[in-house]
Formats: sequence, structure tokens, C-alpha cells
Amino acid sequence: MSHHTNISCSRILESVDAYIDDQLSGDEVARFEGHVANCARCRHELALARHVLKETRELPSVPCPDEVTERVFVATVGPRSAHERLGRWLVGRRWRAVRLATVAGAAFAVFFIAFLSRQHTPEEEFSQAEISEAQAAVRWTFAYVNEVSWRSGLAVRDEVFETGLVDPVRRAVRSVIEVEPDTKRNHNGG
Amino acid sequence: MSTRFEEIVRRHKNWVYTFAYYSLGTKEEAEDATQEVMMRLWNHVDSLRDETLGAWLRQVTRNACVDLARRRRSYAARVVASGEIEGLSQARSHEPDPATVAERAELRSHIESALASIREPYRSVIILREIQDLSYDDIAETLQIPLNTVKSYLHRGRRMLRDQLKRCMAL
Repeated sequence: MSHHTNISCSRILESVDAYIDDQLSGDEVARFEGHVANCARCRHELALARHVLKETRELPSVPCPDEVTERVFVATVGPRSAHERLGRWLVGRRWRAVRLATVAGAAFAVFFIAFLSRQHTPEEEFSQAEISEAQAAVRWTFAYVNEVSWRSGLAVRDEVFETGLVDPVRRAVRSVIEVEPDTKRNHNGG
Repeated sequence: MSTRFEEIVRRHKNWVYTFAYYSLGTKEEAEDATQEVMMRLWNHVDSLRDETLGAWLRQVTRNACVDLARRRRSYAARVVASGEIEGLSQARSHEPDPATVAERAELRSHIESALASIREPYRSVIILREIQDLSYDDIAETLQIPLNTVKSYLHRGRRMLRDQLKRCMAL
């Protein structure tokens, strides 16, 4: 029993949270505050309770990682649409450096082909070495994307490949070189 | 069905994950619990009305976490033994005064540990009320206990939390 008031410290400690939550009656509040005003130990307990409560209430909401919902969607509604998957894959946080390298690789393939084509007028033939080099660059890019998607655990489906990489490369080749596949084969003597 | 399911998942995933994280104490277990909840949602989404969805999700989330914690009983001992769990404290470094930041980070890390180690249903009540800001009524509905019991569990849970913190820190 505390000598400060006619209420014990243990009763005060039991009432700390009810006091903080305004759940004590007027008389109880008066007794509580009367005791705390004269008892350093209970004052400390009240301050501690408030401090811990404040810090607990400020613990942040924790964002659910995208991978979790991705796994759920794959197991339920099936893989996302090609464009959405590609978009999420590009902006997601995992493997950012590798993805950037992949995109850079794809861009490299497109610009390499464009660069080669600018060295020629449409009537000029490409040398076998130039064509082989361009083909190797494209093959390397696609193989690299395959490797990256395997390492990151994110499957890139055929249509994603088609819309995200193959089509841009094809458009770049056709718009700049303006050579149909059959014509090109003839040029190569194939 | 799939569109509604996807919307619900997007809307509630952070709530579910946050509860699971503070309840179980590790990101890995929080991911497992969240995935479990979403798979249960997929199985029941057709029969769930919008008005009852929130309460259903809260109950299922809490039950999934309790089940997971029960299956991995060694977790509490691990937390108490290490005095610390993997937390977000390291990521919270945006405040100006390094000493204050360090002190708060330490306290929060200990709060996270202490939370994960106190027993049910006190742990759930504290997380739902103090971290996720649910009303007493919603907590009573989630845990299916009377309103006065919620208040009593909350106060007892806070005392447990403080006692646990006193054991870990010089408070």
C-alpha cells in the first residue's frame, strides 16, 4: 500500500490503461491522479505506458510484396495478360538491375540493326558478316531475356516475347531496311 | 469472379500482410499467411457479400496466423532467445536525429519482438486496435467475443507488452 493515498500501487498499475482510455469514473480518475501526483514509481509506469502505446500506434502498415499476389493470381485466375505482365515486370522492384540490362540489350539489338542499315541504301546488299552479326545480336538478346526470366523466376510467355521484343525488333528491321524475308534470303544466296 | 477476386486482393492485401507480419514476426511467415488467406478467399469469393467481406477477411487472416503460429511453436522461443527479429526498423531511417532514430528503432524493434511473443488472443487484440486502428465493435466481431472482453484483453495485452519490453530493455 502506498502512503501517498488510500489506493495501492498495484491497483494503480492495473488501472493505467483504463485511465489512458478514459474508462475510469470521475471518482476513480480523482483517486488515480491523486496517487500518481505523489508516487514517482506510478508516474514512471504511466509515462512508460503512454510512450509504449504511442510507439506501438506508430508502427507502420507493411506493404505486401508484389510476388505474393503474383503467386496467388497465377494459382487462381491464371497468369496476367501479356501487356500487364510485361508492365509489372518492367516496373517491379525485384531484379531491377538485371531487367534494365535486359531492356538495354533489346534496345541494343534494335539500334544495332538500325545502325547497320544506315550504312546501306535499300538497293545495296549486306555482307554475310554484317547479317550474321545482326542475327547474333538479336539471338543474344532473346537468349539473355530467357536467362533473366529464368533467374528471376518470372516466366515471360510467348506472347510477351512477341509483343514486347520480337515485334519491336521486326518493325525496326522492316522500317529501316525495308527488305522482305524472301528477298533477304535471295540476297544471301539462301 | 476473377475480376472481383483481383480487386479484393488488391484492396486488402496490405491489411492482411500487415496483420500477419506483426502477428508472426517474420516476412516469410507473413507471406505464407497472406497467400493462405488469399487462397481461402478464392475458394469462397462467390459466396461472400460485400457487407460481410471485411469481417470474413479479418477472421480468416487471424485464424490463418494463429494456425501458422501453432504449427511453428518454436517461433516464440526463438524470438525471446534472440531478443530481436527481422523487422522494418533498419528501413526506417528518414528522421533527422541519428540518436533519436536509433533509440526509436530499437524500441520499435523490441515492440515487434514483444508483440510476436505475447500469447493469443491478446496479441491479435493489440494489433487490431493499436496498429490497424479497428473499432472495439469490429474487434469483437472479428474475434467473436463480447465488447467488454475486448477492452479487458486490450489492457491485459498492453501490460504483457510492457512487461515483455521491461525484460528486454532497461525501461
